[in-house]
Amino acid sequence: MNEAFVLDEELKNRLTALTNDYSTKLAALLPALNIIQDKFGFIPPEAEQQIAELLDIFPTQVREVTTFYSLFYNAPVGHHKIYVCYNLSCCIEGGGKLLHYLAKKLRVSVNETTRDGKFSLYRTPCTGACEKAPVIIVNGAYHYNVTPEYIDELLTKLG
Amino acid sequence: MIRLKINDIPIEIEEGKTVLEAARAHNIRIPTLCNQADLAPYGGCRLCMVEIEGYQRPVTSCTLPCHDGMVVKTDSPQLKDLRRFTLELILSEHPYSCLICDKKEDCAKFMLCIQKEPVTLGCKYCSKDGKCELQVLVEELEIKEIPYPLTYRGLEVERWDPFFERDYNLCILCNRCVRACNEIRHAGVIQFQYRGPDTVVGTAFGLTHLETACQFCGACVDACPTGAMSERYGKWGGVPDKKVSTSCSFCSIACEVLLNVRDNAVISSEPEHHPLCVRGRFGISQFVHNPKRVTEPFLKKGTRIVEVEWDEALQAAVEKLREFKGRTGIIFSPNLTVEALDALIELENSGFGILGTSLDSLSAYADFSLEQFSKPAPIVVLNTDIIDDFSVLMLQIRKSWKEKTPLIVIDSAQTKTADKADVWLQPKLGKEEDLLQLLFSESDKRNTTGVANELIETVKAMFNGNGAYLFYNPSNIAHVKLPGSVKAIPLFARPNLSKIMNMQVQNSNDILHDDSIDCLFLVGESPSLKKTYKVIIAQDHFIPACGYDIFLPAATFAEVDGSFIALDGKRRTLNKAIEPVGKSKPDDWIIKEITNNLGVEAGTTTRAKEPTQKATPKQVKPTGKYPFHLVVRENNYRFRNKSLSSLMKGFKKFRNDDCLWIHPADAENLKLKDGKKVQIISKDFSLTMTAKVTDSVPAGTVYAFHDPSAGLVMDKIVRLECIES
Ligand code: SF4
Ligand code: SF4
Ligand code: SF4
Ligand code: SF4
Ligand code: FES
Ligand code: FES
Repeated sequence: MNEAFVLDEELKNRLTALTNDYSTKLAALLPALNIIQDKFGFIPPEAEQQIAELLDIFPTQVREVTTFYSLFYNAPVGHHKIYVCYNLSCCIEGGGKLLHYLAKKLRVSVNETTRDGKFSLYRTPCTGACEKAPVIIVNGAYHYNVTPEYIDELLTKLG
Repeated sequence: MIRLKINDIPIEIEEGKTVLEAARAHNIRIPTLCNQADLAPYGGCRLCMVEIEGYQRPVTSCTLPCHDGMVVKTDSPQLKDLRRFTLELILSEHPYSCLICDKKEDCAKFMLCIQKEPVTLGCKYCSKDGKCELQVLVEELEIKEIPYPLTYRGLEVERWDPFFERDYNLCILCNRCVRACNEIRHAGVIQFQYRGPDTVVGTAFGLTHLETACQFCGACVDACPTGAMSERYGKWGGVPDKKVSTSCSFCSIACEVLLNVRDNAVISSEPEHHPLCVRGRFGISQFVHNPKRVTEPFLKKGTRIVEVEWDEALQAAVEKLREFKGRTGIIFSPNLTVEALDALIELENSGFGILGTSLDSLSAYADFSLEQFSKPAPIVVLNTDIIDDFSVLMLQIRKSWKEKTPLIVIDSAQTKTADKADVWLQPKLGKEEDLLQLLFSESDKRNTTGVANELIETVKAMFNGNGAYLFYNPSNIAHVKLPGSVKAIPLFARPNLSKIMNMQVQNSNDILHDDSIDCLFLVGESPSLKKTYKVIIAQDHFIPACGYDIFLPAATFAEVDGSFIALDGKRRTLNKAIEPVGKSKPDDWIIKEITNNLGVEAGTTTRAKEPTQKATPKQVKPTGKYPFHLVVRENNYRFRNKSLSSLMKGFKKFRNDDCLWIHPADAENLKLKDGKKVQIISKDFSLTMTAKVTDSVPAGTVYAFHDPSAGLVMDKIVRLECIES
């Protein structure tokens, strides 16, 4: 096992403590995965294995969940995760163009990570903020009425 | 009791049943795909929709519990439309050309399609053709065309595992395989992965099944309504003419099994009332129709071996038995039918030879019934790989238990079961009995077992006064005093124990060491010989490793009527599924023919029989000359004179028993590499095996499976020599 992904005692205790909050151990899986992703930036297979042991479930059950949710990453991703809304309202307001602008600027395609590992670019279905279209989500934070200029600024700020 | 009406038929049913169950109990058909009676309802396929009075829209009957006064309709035109629509959607991702082909009726007869339709996929190219639930539903719902373009997923067919292969391009995501694996087998090998159109059944981390904890039980294959999962052997066997219920004879559990028969061949086997293991599910057809099987009598004439007719072979056998009267050893396998054993007793009574079998591991056997395990309690497993060898027994015992109880494994080696156990206690070799004493009785003996006191206390706390069930390997444990709260069951791999104990036969080893014996009659057994014999008569399915002068082909358990005694002490019936293959004949027939032709001579007395005493094997300490302790493990993957892995490729991959397990440190010292040949030498034997280097065995100890034909019968001290590096 890759040493880097061995869960330390403190983390293990946190995960075990989680199980007390739920009626079954399986129910603690989602929050546990969130904790892991916060720590490593993605979910390493080694961690999946260890979670399965801690929660007394089968590794496939963990895999089922990590592959189901697109917000769990199974491989290392960029430091900053940029999601561009690609549904109707945003596209009418230029969301599609934003996506292409970002792709060109970062020199990546959708679902890819820049070579320096700084940015990952994704598209997302409607984020529920159509009235402020176009919308992008960067590291979980919403940005509204986004323009290419705004993106330039943002990227410089993020470095 | 709940009263409801389905299609105007008044129905009474106990509480807690679903509408689908109520309908089925009254032979009202509702089409389903994701439902399977022995699995939890899933509600995934949406085909079982019914209308309920007072409900706004149709609901899935497989998930809806009945309640009083319900009025259900299962067959309105609207429902049919709805189901048709649903099935069309399901089929839009399934190669459907053959399903809706207007020539499908005549296709098989005239092979129309090859010329006329550009299809390379579809039912005519699928092993499930004629057995497929989709085909039935398409007929039933009268689907004539599908308004969607076909989406073929283009997934790679998974052909890398033994026993079955998977083509998830045919998968309709009914989830039955997943639930079967989890609910029936508690194995948790497969789950849905990804979502939406990408959803696919798979293992964790994309491992092969061989790399996971898959038991190759086939529960998933049997659950699949489509051709997505198919058995490797016999997948093209077609639709069976008949199904014959009989008992699997590969191990002492003796499961009920259904043999699918077509044109006097066993094409496959399937579970009847309870799950099977890999041997019963995938082994039987390959065993019966094994290319190595010999089904004609053979005779050695001078230096040549010639095929002969039965008369000649029997005559030759009788002549030899006459010639060597009183100097013949009859060594038989416990894997025979009771009828064949009775015939053997007759033969011995005629005074021509003495009977013997390998009794090394025969000690007290215990009859039991599953009801005795109704109370959940911790399970202690001693020196046996219960998950590989007796999985079905475990499943049956635990089936009725609501709660999960701890599994405690005592084993000097880290077996698959030890991996899965809640606690694994690794005592020093030979200290198993001491450890049991410490666990189960208030002994103040000093703990020299090598297991930490705290661990022993932890396990004792688990028993918590509730007692425990102890399953142990009888071959390396003599007798331990156990408190009454512990129910102990020895797990013998071979059947017919009570019968054989009553026969009071000799130990085959004594016969093999007896210099006055010049002729051997081997019935289903192939011992390792200590001397050369003037004549060897072998009666079996396969040529014995020790060679023969007369070979009498025996019919397998699928080809005979009879019975044998299972591990629980109860009799199981064998029902003939097919006529004996080739010229083979049932064992009891052959033995009776011989006995009749010999003719009982008046006044013959049989040799005075003393009950064979089991000598407790002395623990021998490794010495300078023989530095390794060789532990011989009971092998539940052996049948008569062969190990299953020597006959079938799948077993060689899944559980190769022709190997010597050795610790990496020892291997390093010997410069021995994994998979290389190693010679094992002891005071009285020498043997070549393949090394399996693994840290699951302790250093200084090597493990091998019981194999009488190689002389692997009991523990020994040995020396190892690397002959291939
Ligand atoms: S799974 Fe069924 S419907 Fe699909 S190709 Fe095979 S036989 Fe035809
Ligand atoms: S063969 Fe048995 S253990 Fe393996 S995946 Fe299928 S159901 Fe699970
Ligand atoms: S492989 Fe077969 S049983 Fe499993 S989900 Fe697909 S169709 Fe259903
Ligand atoms: S458990 Fe034994 S009897 Fe049952 S299927 Fe397996 S080998 Fe046959
Ligand atoms: S379409 Fe972009 S937020 Fe709704
Ligand atoms: S059988 Fe009810 S939804 Fe599939």
